[in-house]
Amino acid sequence: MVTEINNLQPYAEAASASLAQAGPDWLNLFRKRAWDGFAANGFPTTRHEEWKYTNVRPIVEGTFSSAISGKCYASQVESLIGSEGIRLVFVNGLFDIGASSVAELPNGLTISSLKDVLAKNSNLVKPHLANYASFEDDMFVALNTATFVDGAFIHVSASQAIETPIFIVNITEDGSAAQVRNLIVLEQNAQATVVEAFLSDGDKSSFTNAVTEIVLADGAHLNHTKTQVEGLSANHIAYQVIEQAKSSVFDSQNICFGASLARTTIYARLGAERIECTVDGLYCVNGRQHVDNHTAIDHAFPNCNSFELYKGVMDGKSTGVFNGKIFVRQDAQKTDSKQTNQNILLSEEATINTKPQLEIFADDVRCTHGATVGHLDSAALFYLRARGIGEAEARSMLIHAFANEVLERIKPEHLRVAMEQILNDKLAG
Amino acid sequence: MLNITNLQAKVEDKQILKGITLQINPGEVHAIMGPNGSGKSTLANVLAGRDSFEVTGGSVEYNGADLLELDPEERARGGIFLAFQYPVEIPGVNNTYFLKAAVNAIHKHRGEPQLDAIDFLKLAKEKAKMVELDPTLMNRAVNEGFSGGEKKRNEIFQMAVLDPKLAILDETDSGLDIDALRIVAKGVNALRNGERSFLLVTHYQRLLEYIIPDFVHVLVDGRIVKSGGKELALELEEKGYAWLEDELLAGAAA
Repeated sequence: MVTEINNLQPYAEAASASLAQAGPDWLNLFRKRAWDGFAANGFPTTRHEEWKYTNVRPIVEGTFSSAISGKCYASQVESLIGSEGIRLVFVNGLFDIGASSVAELPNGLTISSLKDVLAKNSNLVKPHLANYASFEDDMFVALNTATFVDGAFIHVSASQAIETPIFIVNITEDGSAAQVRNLIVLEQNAQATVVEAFLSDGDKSSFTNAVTEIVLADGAHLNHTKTQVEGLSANHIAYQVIEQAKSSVFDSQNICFGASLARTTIYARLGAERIECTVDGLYCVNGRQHVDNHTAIDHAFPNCNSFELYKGVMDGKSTGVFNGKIFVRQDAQKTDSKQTNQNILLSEEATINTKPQLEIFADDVRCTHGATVGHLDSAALFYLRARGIGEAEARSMLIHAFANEVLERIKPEHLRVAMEQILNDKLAG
Repeated sequence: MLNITNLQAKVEDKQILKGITLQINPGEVHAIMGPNGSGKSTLANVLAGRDSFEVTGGSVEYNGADLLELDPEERARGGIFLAFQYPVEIPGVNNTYFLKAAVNAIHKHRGEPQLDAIDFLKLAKEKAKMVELDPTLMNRAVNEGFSGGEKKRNEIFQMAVLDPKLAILDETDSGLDIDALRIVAKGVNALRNGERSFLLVTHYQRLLEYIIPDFVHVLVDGRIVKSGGKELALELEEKGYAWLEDELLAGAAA
């Protein structure tokens, strides 16, 4: 592949150069390898199998800066997540300590800006950082690895259950590019609820490139919600990798309402026995939005369960992609895996490409998958209207009922209600 | 109240209603009987505004308005209620939430005050008791996982809550055992007053033992071929529909 010269490239090059020697040696090495890979391959094109239906030209040809306006986003943040909880706020990928709330942390919880940890105590993150998100296969991960400056580091010590939800809020400003990098580590039997929220500000095109590495030790339990409500000129690329050890539980929702172009890749590696992994998702898009969700759940050991429910509501001329891979390797006997992708098209012009993929090499497993694409149930719609409920309200009731199966699983209540409200506003046009 | 004149309707390319004329006055109970496929349910659905049926001729006047011009929700707000033959299951939509929205849409149209949660629950509780509906069903999704009898009772319950002017019951008796039928009939009878009208669509005379109609009409092949009092139902029970069909053929031949 030929590296295309574009506006983002010089900026990325400068960022990479300034960071190349800035960190600990092990990280510098990762950064160099990642940058070399990115420089050699460039951004993926639609000729690339994994990017067949998602054209990243708006990112490749966009003009972005990394300047920070200094604006205050407290009200936007509060309206989304409320005033409770532990929060880390990042603007254009850089920690905004003033907007964050990380004082008086419960026992066993370490929270820090990644930049800080790398400067002061990089051994804390060395076993994990950049160990799981593969920068060899994904050029956005490579770009992120080579050029990220900051991010969130969350660590929960063994056997500690953190009741208070932890929010990582990322705001990407008008015309900016943000390399967001998060590392979440739960030690043995630890429990936590973590939310990653993505917002943007302003009307000019922006670019968020997020990589999150999640590490769950034996028996750890993480509730994880990603909500992406960026503006309609934003470009959002996210890569999430979950490394699960024995008897760990990962329970997650991935909610995509925003951005002009949104792509999320989730890779869950079930690297031991008796793991539970739930990756649910909801996307609701309209106008000319494009939303792409690629997920892969990799069963390598016996007796693990994975559940995946992705629901989509597509209106206007929006386009969508769902690609869900389930690998069941030869040793992964007694795997129980269920994958469902359901889509409602609200307009004649909206399209969705859905591709469930099961690759099973074990023989004693229970795996089901299914994908549906349809319209609102006309019999249900008539039933509601025949009781006096107006057409618009009846439609909204049915769409909410459809979406709620995923939304109701969001743990922090304020966030759940806010997401229902955003869905409402979106449906109202 | 309701004036149906020469109503014709088709579904896809099949003509189902071939000219129905029927007048219903306030407080009257009319029964429409007829063999399978005669168009009984089509009539009920056309009156409620289902768009899978195309009206190809005739007119329906309801309280001075052209009913066929109205959307289903406008008909409902104007006092028409259809008890569905096959109530739809709507997963994810809570029964209480749904019915409160319906009541308030109708109240708004009538210029009556909106019910808050407490007032609504009071009303719902009272009406649920009347049709012996298990109150826990109110907390479930609309009709989801309900038994056949529960679904039909839920329809009568909704009718009681929504307080219609004209209630159309589409084969509400089908699939009900005798106890369930009695409960449903009791609910309907409790709602009978000098004002409210009913159109009972049924295949069997059985329902009419419990809900005594003022008029009985027999629908065969999209037309009302005979009208009479409640005794007509008994005659049909005795002789079946065949003699009417024979009579019709004989009439056509003559």
